[in-house]
Amino acid sequence: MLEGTVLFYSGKRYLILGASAGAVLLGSYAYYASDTTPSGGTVGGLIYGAIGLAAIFALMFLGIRKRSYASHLGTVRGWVSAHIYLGLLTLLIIPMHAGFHFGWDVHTLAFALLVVVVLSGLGGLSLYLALPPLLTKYESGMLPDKIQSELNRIVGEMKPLAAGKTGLFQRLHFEESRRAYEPKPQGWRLLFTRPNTSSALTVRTQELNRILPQIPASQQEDFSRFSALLLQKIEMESYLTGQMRLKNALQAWLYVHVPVSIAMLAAVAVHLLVVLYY
Amino acid sequence: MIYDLLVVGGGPSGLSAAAHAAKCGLSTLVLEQGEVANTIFNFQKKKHVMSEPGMIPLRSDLQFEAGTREVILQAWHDAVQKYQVQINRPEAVKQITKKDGLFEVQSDKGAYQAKHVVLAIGIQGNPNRVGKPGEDLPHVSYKMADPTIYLDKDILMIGAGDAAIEGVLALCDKNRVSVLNRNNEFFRLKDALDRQINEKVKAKQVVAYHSAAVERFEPGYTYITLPDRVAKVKTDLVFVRIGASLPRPFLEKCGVTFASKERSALPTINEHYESQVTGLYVIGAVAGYNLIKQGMNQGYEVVEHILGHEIKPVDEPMLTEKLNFLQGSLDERLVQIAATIPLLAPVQKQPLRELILQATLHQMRGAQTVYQEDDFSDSLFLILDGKVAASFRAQLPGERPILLYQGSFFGEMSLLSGRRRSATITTVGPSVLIEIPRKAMLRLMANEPAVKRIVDETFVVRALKTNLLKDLEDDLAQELAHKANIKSFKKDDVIVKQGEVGDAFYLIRSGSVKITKREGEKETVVKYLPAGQYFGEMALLDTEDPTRKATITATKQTEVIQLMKEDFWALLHRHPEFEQHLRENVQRTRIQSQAFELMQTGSMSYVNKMLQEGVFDGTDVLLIDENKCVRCDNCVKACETTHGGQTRLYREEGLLFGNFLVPTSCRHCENPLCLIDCPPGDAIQRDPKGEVFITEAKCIGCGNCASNCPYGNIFMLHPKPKETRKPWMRILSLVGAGPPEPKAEDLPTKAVKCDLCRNDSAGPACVRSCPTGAAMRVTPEEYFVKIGAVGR
Repeated sequence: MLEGTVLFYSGKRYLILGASAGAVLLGSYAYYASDTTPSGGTVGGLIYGAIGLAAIFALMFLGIRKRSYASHLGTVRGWVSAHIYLGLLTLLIIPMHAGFHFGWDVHTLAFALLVVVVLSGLGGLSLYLALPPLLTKYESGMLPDKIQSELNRIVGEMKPLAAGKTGLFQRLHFEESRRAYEPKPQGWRLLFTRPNTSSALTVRTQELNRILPQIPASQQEDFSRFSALLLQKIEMESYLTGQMRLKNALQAWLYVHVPVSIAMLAAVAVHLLVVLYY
Repeated sequence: MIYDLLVVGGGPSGLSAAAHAAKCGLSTLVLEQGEVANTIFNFQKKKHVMSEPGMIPLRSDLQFEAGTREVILQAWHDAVQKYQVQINRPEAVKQITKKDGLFEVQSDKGAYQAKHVVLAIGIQGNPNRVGKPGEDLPHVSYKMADPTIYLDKDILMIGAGDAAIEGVLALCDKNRVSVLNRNNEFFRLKDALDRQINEKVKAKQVVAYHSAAVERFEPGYTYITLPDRVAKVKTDLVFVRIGASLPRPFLEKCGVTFASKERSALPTINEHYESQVTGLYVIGAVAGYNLIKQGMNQGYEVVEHILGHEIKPVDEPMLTEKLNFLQGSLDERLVQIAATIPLLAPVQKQPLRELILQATLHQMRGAQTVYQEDDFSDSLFLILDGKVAASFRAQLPGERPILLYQGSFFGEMSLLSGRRRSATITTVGPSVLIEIPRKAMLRLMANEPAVKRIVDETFVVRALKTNLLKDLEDDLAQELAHKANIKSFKKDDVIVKQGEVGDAFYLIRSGSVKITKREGEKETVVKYLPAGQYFGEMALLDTEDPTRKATITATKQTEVIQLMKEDFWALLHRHPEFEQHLRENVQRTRIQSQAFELMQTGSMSYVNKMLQEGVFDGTDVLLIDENKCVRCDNCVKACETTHGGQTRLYREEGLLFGNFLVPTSCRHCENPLCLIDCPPGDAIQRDPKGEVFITEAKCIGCGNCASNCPYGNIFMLHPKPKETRKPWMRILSLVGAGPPEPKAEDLPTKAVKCDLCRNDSAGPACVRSCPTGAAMRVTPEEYFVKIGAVGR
């Protein structure tokens, strides 16, 4: 099932590398713990610390590599694959560095943040693996640009129907065209916006049925054509929100992963300052 | 007063003649019924005017280089001032008579006498008219200078030729446009226009009245006769674009004779453009020369002739220089070429000159490679001297290469099929080769049936040998080639129909076909065959059931070589081993197709759709596996960043085939339609590896390639302006002070498209930047071989 995914990049290259690095680390720790009491201050602890720091830099470099589009330094896909396994390894390296001692201090804060980062990364990975096929199904031949142009067409056809009609009719049209141009959630709003996916279609159908008797008889024919278009529009919009929700999920986790990793880096800097200076 | 020269018509040809005459001290008068350079004056604003043919120098006292309408008109205006050319306008000439060696020219304003008259009246001054009541109403117009000034109007375009449809497309975004077409569908339109207008009609942006005619015009309305009724159409404006024609009655009244009674016949003139009436010259479009530069050169040459100077054709020195390794006068050299190369023997003198002018001569010293197998080039080579060897990669060790000698030609396979070179050609010892560009060769073949026949037959002989039977005897091959038919099919034409009795065998010469099988209601695509493959043998070999087992349909413009049943059997009788080979193949194909029918996997149902959408036309297609794509748009950002801030890849636009998305990005087609109409000739081109790319510096922004691309993968964009402001100026401008940000809209648009990151050794940035491996570049054949849908 995971065949061909980033996890198994280039013949499971990084899976094998990561697993063997993990094994080597565990072996070395067993040797190191056998004759010293493990802590961050020992030679061994410092070596683990240095390795951990290097790993953190290598992990964060993905953000730079991803944006260096002309770079010949491997492919982004390879970097992502390595990033996953290296990220998991830090959960081993850093406790080894601390000799598995934790407390209520800035040092453990840095580690706690790292855990948040790695867990959010794992969450992101599972979203990356699970959501695209769902999204493909949702798109089912209708890409967002097509939906958008369909929507524009529908709004365009609604306009002449509503022109010069009773106030209620016109207000309905006004609200619909305003809604069509509402901004889509972006950036930080991804984390806090819940797209409205309630059964909008049935709600609106009932609403339109309620309004119908209030429309003058001479305008009812146009109104029913207008209603048909409106319901078509709602259906399109619900497609769009469905896609939107999945796409938001694909991006939203990054709004945890990236800022927390930067906070983690700051905590690591404080940690270094505290232990090396004092 | 008696003028030395009176020029009728103030277009480029006439002005060129008048300017040169005035410069040489002849008393000259120009009579023009409209504007100076009326046709160009009526072009759309800022329209790019071309100066074809590029290799012929300009011989005129007027300047003329490709450029915008405004620049060209200004240059001519300046020249007219400089040489003090007298132009009377608007003044329409009514009659020209010759009396006692002098011409009497009668116009609507007066009468003039002149020793010589040049008729350079063009044909645009004589637009074809509708000839129905009301056509003189003010809202009925024969020209449209600037389509952008019309807004929210009901407009009717009469005519459905290229010019009319161009007008419709320019108008229809801001107005309600209908088009009146005499025929029952749009036809003889340029491909790109045909597609665009049909899209607009489908989208109801344009209303098309086919098989229609005007009944009468009224202010605000036009009555149109349709096959079943008369329609009253609301029209604020009517434009008539139904072509223009030679003003033959006028010319005949002046004494000019015509070659025949045919509508397309041209005036009879001698090599000095002089008509049967001595001293009366006919030049430019009215003499059948449609290119501006030709007409201007003729104007100059006529004046030289009047002055009694002997003047050689303008291409004489270039040709002489080109053939400098031959002896004798230019004519003798050309005769020598035609005598050496049988292919050129039937070619007349003038076309031969034009051909050599466009050709490149290669003088090879020793063993040099002319082209490599699998190169993408499509010119034809003639061996003027020496010999060449053709070798193939699939050659058996020890097998000797095929030798071609003086007088023969090669390269016709790629010329005709548009596919990669099928052999590597190397010269053997010193040789002289003439390389003829594809366009020039195709034009020659269209005009000289004898040349076409030779090229076609040679093609068949070689195609039979390459694709069917290597040791086919020359005499049999010749005989078969002579009997073979070459048939062409449009996209979606059926070549062979399932169930019919088979009577012929086919070899695909260009294009491609799909094989479909129908069972009950269901029709499935079983295979796709590119050029070089054959089909139709199955029904011929099966004597018990000679019906076709499948339907074969052209998937694009396709040409096939058809061998009739008897000829096919004549071939098999001489070569029983080939029959054996075919029978084995048939057996294998049957087993395969049965397996295939059982297989019916999900992805297969998309093959037909992909064929329709032309995915098979590509040589390198970007596919995105939507099941892996996390919609991060890193591919788009990568494209944007590596191409000066402008992406050539739009991930969210494109075609979905199951979970495979073919985004809007160049496919590098096998027969790139975008290359057809590039005015500079080489701003968009294909490199030997097959990549189609645009050189920005050469692009004039005409948009032809973009509109010729059937898949909408070339974009016309304003280049990103270079930031010329200092950093502190930019900060100032943030608060509204300082110089404004340079605007992209100030720069003319240029065509941009995917270039496969050809300057980057590591390959396309989009693929390298995909975090999940969803984006990939594949040749369709590679991809489809995997799922068993291609080839034999």
